[in-house]
Formats: sequence, structure tokens, C-alpha cells
Amino acid sequence: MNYITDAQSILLDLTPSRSFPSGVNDNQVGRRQAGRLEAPRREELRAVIRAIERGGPRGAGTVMALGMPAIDGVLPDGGLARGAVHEVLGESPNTAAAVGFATLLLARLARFGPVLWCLGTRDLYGAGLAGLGLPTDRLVIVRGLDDRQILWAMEEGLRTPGFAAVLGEPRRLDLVGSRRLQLAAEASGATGIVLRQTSPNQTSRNQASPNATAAQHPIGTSVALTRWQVASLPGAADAALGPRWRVDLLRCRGATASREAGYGSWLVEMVPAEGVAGREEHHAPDPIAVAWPLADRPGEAGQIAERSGRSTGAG
Amino acid sequence: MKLARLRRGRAGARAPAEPLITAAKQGNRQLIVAVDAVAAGLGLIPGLPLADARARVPEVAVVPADPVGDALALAALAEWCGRYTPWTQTDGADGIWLDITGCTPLFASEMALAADLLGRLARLGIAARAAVADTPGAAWAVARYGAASSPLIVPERQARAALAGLPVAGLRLPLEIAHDLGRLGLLRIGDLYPLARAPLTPRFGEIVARRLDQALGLVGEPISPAVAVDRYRVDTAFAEPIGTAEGISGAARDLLDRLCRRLAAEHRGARRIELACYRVDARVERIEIGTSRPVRDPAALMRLLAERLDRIDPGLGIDIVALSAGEVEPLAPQQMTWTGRDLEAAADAMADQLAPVIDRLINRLGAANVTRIQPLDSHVPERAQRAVPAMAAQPKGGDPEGGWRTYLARPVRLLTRPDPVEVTAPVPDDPPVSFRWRGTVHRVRRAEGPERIAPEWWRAGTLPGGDLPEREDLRDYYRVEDQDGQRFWLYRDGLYTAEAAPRWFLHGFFA
Repeated sequence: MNYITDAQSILLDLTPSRSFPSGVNDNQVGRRQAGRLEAPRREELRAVIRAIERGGPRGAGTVMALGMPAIDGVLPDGGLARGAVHEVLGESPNTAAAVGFATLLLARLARFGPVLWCLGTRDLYGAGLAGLGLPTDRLVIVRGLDDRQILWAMEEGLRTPGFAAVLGEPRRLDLVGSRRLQLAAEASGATGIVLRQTSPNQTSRNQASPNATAAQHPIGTSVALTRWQVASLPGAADAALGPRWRVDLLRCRGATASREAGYGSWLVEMVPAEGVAGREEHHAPDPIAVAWPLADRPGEAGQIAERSGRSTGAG
Repeated sequence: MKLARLRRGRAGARAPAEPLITAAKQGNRQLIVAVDAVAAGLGLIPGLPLADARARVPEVAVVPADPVGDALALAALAEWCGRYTPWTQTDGADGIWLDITGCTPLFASEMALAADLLGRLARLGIAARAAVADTPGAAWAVARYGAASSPLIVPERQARAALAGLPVAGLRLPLEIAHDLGRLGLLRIGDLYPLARAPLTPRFGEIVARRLDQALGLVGEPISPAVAVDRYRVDTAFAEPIGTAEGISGAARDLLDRLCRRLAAEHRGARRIELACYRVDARVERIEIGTSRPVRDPAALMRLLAERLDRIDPGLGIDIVALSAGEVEPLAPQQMTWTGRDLEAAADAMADQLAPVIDRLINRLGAANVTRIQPLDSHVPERAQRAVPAMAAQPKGGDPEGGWRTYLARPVRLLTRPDPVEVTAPVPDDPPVSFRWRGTVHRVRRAEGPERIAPEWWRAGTLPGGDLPEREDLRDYYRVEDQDGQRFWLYRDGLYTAEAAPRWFLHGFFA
């Protein structure tokens, strides 16, 4: 029941005595060591600069690692920024893959406190969500009749202290709405996840080239820090049926990689933890998500997916 | 108190000289139901056939009687009279009781209170008579049969004298009993004083003696209030009616501060708060908020109230705003918990932290739409979980999966109403090779199953909601993956028989 501590979060502590021996005048130190700051200190300052750039007072600067090193390595500070809004796109009518990926994010965020899920339907299924690692006793579900209610509930959940993260499924979200959510998230430090649908003619399945989609994506503008697109991938013929997605990072503010090169595409699948078979039913396996980098070229994606799907164990 | 000719106000402004009556059909005749002052002056009385009235006073204006509307208007007026006392009740079709015991000090005198009431009603175009007396019975008699001047105040312990000259009908007797008494020469209430009670009762029933004793205060007669009286109630009155949103929210904030101070002094918190705005046009606007646990934080309550303040229609203005706490529960003084390792304390802390935001969500969207999901011990998929109120107590125990049977592969979305799909399944017990869902054909590339789920025998035939097929049959579930990698949960409803092929349904989506 520890909601606060997170090994991945960066503590913003700029007290000079922390980095330097006591008794030394700060100004002297500043002059003497201006040229060669220690590496951790440099990282801290970078985090501060990024926090200032993002404009978030409280949640900014802290990140949540996804637990998938291949993806975390691309994200600034090595994780998903908290106190901000992120977008996950899925393709209608079946957005289950995007729901699954968003659930993974929410499950990690639920370690910081209860989470809220705002949607228009009643079809969330607890057994499936728990299977992806989401603690359902920390989950509150809000059903809104329309986008207005869903977005209101999201903003309320983000703005009022209490929830660590808020996931919402509005059908539409304009720039103003997205901005409001972002401000609410910045103010409270809670993390927002917007789960949205794209219609099938907007992007063709499994051919979502990051170059094309990032530049001219039809989903509209928003101020979300990151935008992920998730699509189902077929598994290998001999493997068990399980979550297996192509995840494209279409947008990532503050990333070091250039936008033209694409932020990254991964194959993400859930691998049961070791020793699953012998466990009792009440101690179901903790599923672990693993990510494999995918080539950017659309034609190659399937082959690589096929290959990496067979080679289990690496990760 | 008697509110006479209330209907005039509803009929709208007319030239004062024009007589106005309402009429309703009784049997096959139109009878006068009510008359205004002008019509009464011309000799029109309730109960007169409409044809006679038209013959006597050709210029009379006739409005169809609306007893239901009258009753509603009277009830609303009785509610509005709550500005004088919380104990109000309608009396018959045209009267309102006010129990002003103890309320007089708020006004200068009983006379001032009654005059204030009549003045407000007169400004609204309601002709009314008021009387104040020791007992409800005496007030009733004096208001309806007393001297023409109004309000009438019967001084303490003088009901006997005040009633003596009034007709016996003033004792709230049925018409025929009053008539019979009159035939015996007992026309005035005072005529009954010297009579022995014993002979009266066999002849007229006990009601005569009872009403007389009630009017004279010899036996008690409680008035039950229209609404339960809240002990925790604060109000504020304005010399000038307010009508702006800022004014109302400012008043609400002040009242919340007062109420919460009182709650804090008594170590209590409110679960339900009602804000009542008494409008100058004799209407009451009410809004109500509920909280999941006792609260006495003015700021938190104000956030909830603010959500609904826009539902208040100030009309021509509001001159009294009252705030009452309906449900009040003990709430110990706030104390910080320092034992972070204590699981229950942590759970409580989490609930405390969540309560304000959940209250806001519930007050806006309804409790049914703010839920948690809990596992249920059933192997039928749609019964394996239930929605519980968001602030329901969580089951204790450190089970990380929360009791879900996650060893069974289950979808992340389960359709509340399974979608029928057309399938191509060549071999009866094999998974389908393709299926059509929403106009798109999905070729099944891989499949796992069947997982056979038998109906629960103790629920023969009936299903909650009735959405599913009436007959609950054996289901064979298959997890299938199509050519694009989308994963679906399909089931076949029943087994293949000689007569008909079983139907297939799409029930869920796997991540």
C-alpha cells in the first residue's frame, strides 16, 4: 500500500548541500565547478529545464517507467511523464488492443494511487483488466452519457486530488478540451490518458508508417505529450493466443530523437512470469509486458513480428 | 387560516369590477365551485348551478375549475409558508395550517406575523384571511366565520368567548351534522356550551363533542408537518430580494459556514444537505446534495452545491435562503494517522482522499454511473462481475488480483448484449473458419477452445435484463484470432441438433 514511492521517479532536490560538501560556499563551488558538473547533477538540471519547458509545477519532472526498456529508452527521462496527458489511439470498431496497452499504462500508474476510467459503455471486464495487471480494487469507473460528461468527469478526476491517473474514452476531443485536461493534470500531478478511436480508413492496419501518420494524422491536434497508436498483431501459429500489439509512438514532446526519423515502433506482448504453471489459481501470474523494436518500414514489420514472436525468452 | 378565492390569482389579472367564478360539472349540471369577492357581492355562491348564475349576472366570467392544479398550488404555498415556521400543512382544498408556536419572537407580535403573511399574499393577488388562536380548531373557526377584519387574533385563553357567537359549522363539522344541529336551534357554537355531552354523542356522533373540545383546547390536536423538520437548519433573510447567481452562492457559502461550525461543535457531519430558496412569488426552489460519508468541510460542500446552483430559478427574487442538513452522522474530530503501515488506515486514508471527488462525480452523473467492479463467484462470464457503488467497502485481503480468476483467459471488454454473428463452421464441434461481424468478414487464423460453460441449473430459464436468449443453453466459447491479429471471444449457443444449427455470438474482445 505504498502510493508514493517509485524507484523511477526523479526527486527534484536542488539544495546545494546535497551535492556538495557542507561548509563550502555555494558561490565558490559554482565558479569552481561550473564547467564540469557531476553527471547526476547534470541530469537533475536537465529535468528541471524540461519541467520548465513543460510548464508543470508539481507532477512535472517525475516519470513513470513502462517497465519495457526498449520503449523507456526513447522516452525523455526514461518514462512516461506524470502530471500530463497522453494519447492512445486504437482503430475502430475493435479498439481492444489500444485498451490493452492503455490498461498496461494504467496498471503501472495505479501504484501511485486509485485510478479513474471514464467511458460511455458498461463493457469493461474486470477479469481481463486484472489479467493485464490492473488492480481493480483501485479502479473507479465512471459512465458518461456523452462526450461532455466523459470529459467533465476526466477533468474533475484530474483536477481534484485523489486519483493518480484518469483514463477517458471520449469520441471527440478538440484542442480546447485537450488543453483543459492538460492544465488539470499539470495542476494536480495526476496523469491523464485519452483513449481514442480512429476509423479504419484513416490509417490502414499494420501499415501505419510513423513518418506519414505523425506528419498528417487525421485525429486532430492536441497538446498531449505523447501519442501512441496500437494495433493488434497476429501471433505465431504455434504460440498461445495472447496480447500482441504493434505500438507506434507517433508523437513525443521533449524526445531526443528527431521527428522525421520516427520515435519508434515496437512489438509488445505479454509474457507470463516464470513458474506460472505450478501456481495456485489465486496467485495468477503477474504478466510482464515486453517490447521489441520493429523496423520502420511497413513491409518488414510483419516478418520481424513473426520472428521475434518465436524467439521467446529474450527480452 | 383560510385562504379564500385562491383561484383568482391563478386566473390572471382582470378588471377588478368583473365577477369571476370557476365551475365544474357535477352529474349533468355545471355548478359553481368558487367565486371571487365581486361575484360574492352579486349574490353568487358556490354550489349554485352555472345556468342560474349566468341568468342572474350575465357578465360573469367563468373559468373551468382545476382541482388538481389548485391542490398543487396550495401545497406549494404551504411549503412557501415554511418561511414562517417549519410546521405547515394544507387543510382541505383551501386552507393552510401554520403552527407558529415559538416563532412569534422572530416577528414583533402574532399580529405582525399574520399581517406580514397577508401582505405578501395580497401582493401576489391571493385574497386570504388569517386567524391566530390557541388551538387549531379555534383558529379555523375564527378565520372562516369571524369578523370581516383580518387578521384576527384570539388572545390566550379566550377562545371560548371568541367562538361563542360563531356558527356551529365553524367546528369543522360535516355539512349535514351542522344542518341537523341548526334544526334543533343550536345555531351558534355558544349554544353548545351548556349542553350535556352525553345526549349529543348518540345523536350526532362523537365528532361534535370532540371538535368542540379541540377548539376549546380541552383535548390536544397535533398538526403533522408537511415535511420532516430538520434539526440542523440555518437560514438568512434579505431585505431586498436577491436574484443573481453570485448572491445565491454567497448566501449558500455563509450558511454553510454557520452550519459546519455547528456540526463541528457537536462532532457531527452531514450526509445530505438541502438548500431551500423562498421566492417572493410564493414558490420554493430546492436543491439537494448527498455525500458518501459525513462531511463538515464548508469548502467541499460548497463545491458540491455550486454544481447545482444553476438549477435554482430565482424568479422575481429570493428573500429567504435556508440550509438544512437532512442526514447527520457522528464525525469524530479530524486526527492525523501516523501509522502508515496499517493497511486499514491506509485504505481509510485512500477513501477519505477520494470521497470529495467521488461525491462530485456522483452528484453530477448519478450514483449508478460511478462504480467499482468486483468479482463474483460465477463461471458464467456476464455474472462473474458486478458493479458496486464507488464508495462501497472493499473486501479485505491482500489478493493482488482482487479475486479475479485471471488464470482463465478473459477479454478486456465484454459486450453486455452478445452480438449475433454469422459463422462458417464446417465441422460441428470445431471453431469457425470465418465469421461476419458488422458487415466485415473475419477469417479465423488461430483459435483456442472450446471452453464449455454450462448454464447454472438454479437459474432455470431466466436472465437478468432479459437481453440474452430466453433459453439459457450450454455455451462453447472459442478464442479466435483473425488475419489481422484481432482477437475475439465467440461462443456457440447450444449444441448442433438435427433440426436447427445453433446460433453464434460475439461476446468480447481480447487485448
